[in-house]
Amino acid sequence: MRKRTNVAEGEQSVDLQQNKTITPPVGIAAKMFCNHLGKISSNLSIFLWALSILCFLSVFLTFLVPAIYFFVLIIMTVLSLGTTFLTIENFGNWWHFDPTFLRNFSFGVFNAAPWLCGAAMIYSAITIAMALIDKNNRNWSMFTMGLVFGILSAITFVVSLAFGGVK
Amino acid sequence: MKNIKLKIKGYGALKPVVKVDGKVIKFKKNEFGSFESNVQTEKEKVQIEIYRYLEINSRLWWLTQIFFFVISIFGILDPLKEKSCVVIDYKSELDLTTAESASVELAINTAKTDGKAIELKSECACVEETNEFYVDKKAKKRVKIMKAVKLLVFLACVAVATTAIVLTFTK
Repeated sequence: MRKRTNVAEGEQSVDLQQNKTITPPVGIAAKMFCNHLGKISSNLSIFLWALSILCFLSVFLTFLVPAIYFFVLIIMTVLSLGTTFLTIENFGNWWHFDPTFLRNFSFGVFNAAPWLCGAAMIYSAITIAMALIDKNNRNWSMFTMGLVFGILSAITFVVSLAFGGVK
Repeated sequence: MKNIKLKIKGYGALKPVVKVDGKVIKFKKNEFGSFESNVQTEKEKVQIEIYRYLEINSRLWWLTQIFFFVISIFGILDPLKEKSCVVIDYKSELDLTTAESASVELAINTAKTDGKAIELKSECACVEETNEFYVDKKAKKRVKIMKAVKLLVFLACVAVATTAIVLTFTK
């Protein structure tokens, strides 16, 4: 079956598919490998830094969850007035509020932040190395990404340590 | 010493490798968006080669793809791959016997009816050996196989993780 390639409107399409394969030379294949590795490292450093920020913010769950709990409780109380099936007791049975568990959970997650930042910094370093590895064709956009997220991860690392992460 | 002023248009989209006498040429972008480079040579005839290599065609491609799949968290953080598998295969010989310096303008075509990859303009005589724009069938097949395998492995990983979570919480 002949397959056709997209061409501009008005032009006749032609079969461009061939069985010929050009294997890249080792040097060029290595450069392509480094470029690909750099892109993945860059994505990983962004992902890990974002995750560390979420972990860092998890400590606010300790304050946020009780606030939501009491807010919902007030609404339920108002709604239950004059009804028989919506009562505060029913709500309390449905949602068991355990402050100790919540505190342990949020601080446990918070402690993961410096570790994630450390990993993000390692990936940023790999990104920078991969961006600069080819002396003739340095990838400055990749270098910038590595540098920016490396700095951000370092700042988050220091701040999370200062707030008492990793014990 | 002869000087060749190389100018290339349409370089940014496909970024092929340009070689003059086997040496890879580095280009600089000018203010008009095309890429330029100056090449110096002692030879009377120089060979200009332009290739667009595909990562999937390299040796040990399957090993590198497995490595990338694993480190990118089962392909989630892997950047989008080459889908078109378009290859440029261009080889020509430029005659510099009559000129001390030459300006060579190369324009990379898009997929056209005649399948010609490059249009070369120069005051010097030029003999084309190959000038093709084609879709690599083998690479395309590899891309398809790779996609299917990655999807299967990803689904298997999700299934294993779900089972592990369910078993942990039901104990």
